[in-house]
Amino acid sequence: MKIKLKDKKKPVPRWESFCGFATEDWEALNAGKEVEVDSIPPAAEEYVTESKKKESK
Amino acid sequence: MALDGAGYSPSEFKLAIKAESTIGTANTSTMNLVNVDSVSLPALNPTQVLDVRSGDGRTAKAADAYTSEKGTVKEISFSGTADSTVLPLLIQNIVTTAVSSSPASYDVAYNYTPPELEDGQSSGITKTVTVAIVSPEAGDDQSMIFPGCCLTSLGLTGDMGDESGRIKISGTFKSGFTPSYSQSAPTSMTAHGSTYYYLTDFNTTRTVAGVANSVIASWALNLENDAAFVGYSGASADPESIVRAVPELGVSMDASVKYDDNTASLHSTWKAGTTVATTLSNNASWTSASTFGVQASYGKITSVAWSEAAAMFVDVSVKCMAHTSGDVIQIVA
Repeated sequence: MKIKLKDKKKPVPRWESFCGFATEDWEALNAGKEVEVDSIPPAAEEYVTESKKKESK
Repeated sequence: MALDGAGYSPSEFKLAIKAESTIGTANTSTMNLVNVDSVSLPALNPTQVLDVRSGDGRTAKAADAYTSEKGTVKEISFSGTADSTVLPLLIQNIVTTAVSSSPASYDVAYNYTPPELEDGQSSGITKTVTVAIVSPEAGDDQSMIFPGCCLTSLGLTGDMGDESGRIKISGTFKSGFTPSYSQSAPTSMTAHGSTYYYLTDFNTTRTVAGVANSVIASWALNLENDAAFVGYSGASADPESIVRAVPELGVSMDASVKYDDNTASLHSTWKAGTTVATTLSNNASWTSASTFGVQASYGKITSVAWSEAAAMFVDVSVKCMAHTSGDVIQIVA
């Protein structure tokens, strides 16, 4: 699944092993990018959300 | 005070722990008893200034003495036997991480950082625990309750020549919060478990410092995750924050393995600085490991020595390190 920040003013903190993300994914998320992950780590649920898929016409 | 004829056995003193709901707030409800060898008075480390001050005569005056508990760190050390009720609690507190999956293990991620710990915020077993030194003295309330504790060191050891390889534990809790020294003994404490861990649980995969099929005589795992208690608040000057893992969460292993064709070149591996993996488990596949096991894939040998025992053995020590992904160590317990 692709995920992104819920609120760009509320980045994923570095606590608890970068909330369970690989460091490069954590950096990308906080830079406002979408990241492909298998699942959302529990510690990060407050900060990220699954990206909505664009509907094909 | 009239003479008291009562006396107690050292074995009547107990050590109990319990995860806190709020950092720094004691939780003495249904505490878990730890299977300790003995209980000693914690290191209370009060500030004491007893120097001579200027005055008449060359003597230190009692009125000049200064004693305070504010800003001091209390240390509660213990040793005992690991069981399946308490050991997972201890591991979670020192690695500040809940159980993972495939296998069900406690992992130290390659990019480990500790949780944010602030006085008064929500807690749990991965953050702070209350430690109780339970006194058998019933006439007065003499138990000691230490809130806001962090387990800062934990050692696991197993030796086939000692209790048939049953795993022993030792460790130290630290707290910068003000304890209660005159508390009644906590009630409804939970007994420690009766299911133990053994060196013989490593019965399928025995790779030590990169050497598969090592013949193990003894093994030790050492975890270090220090805690600094910083800031002050309230009348007792309790810390405002707990900073963990400074400068690092340290993991090391020691093992004594039989000198043979497999292990004879460990000193060369040490000299070459080769990265070595250690896996000890009850399954050929690490993801299926259960009961008790460890895997650390990026170790560096820090010492090698020959040890004369029933046969020639090799004592090898490994510091477990991080790679660019994965974990420093995974512990199944």
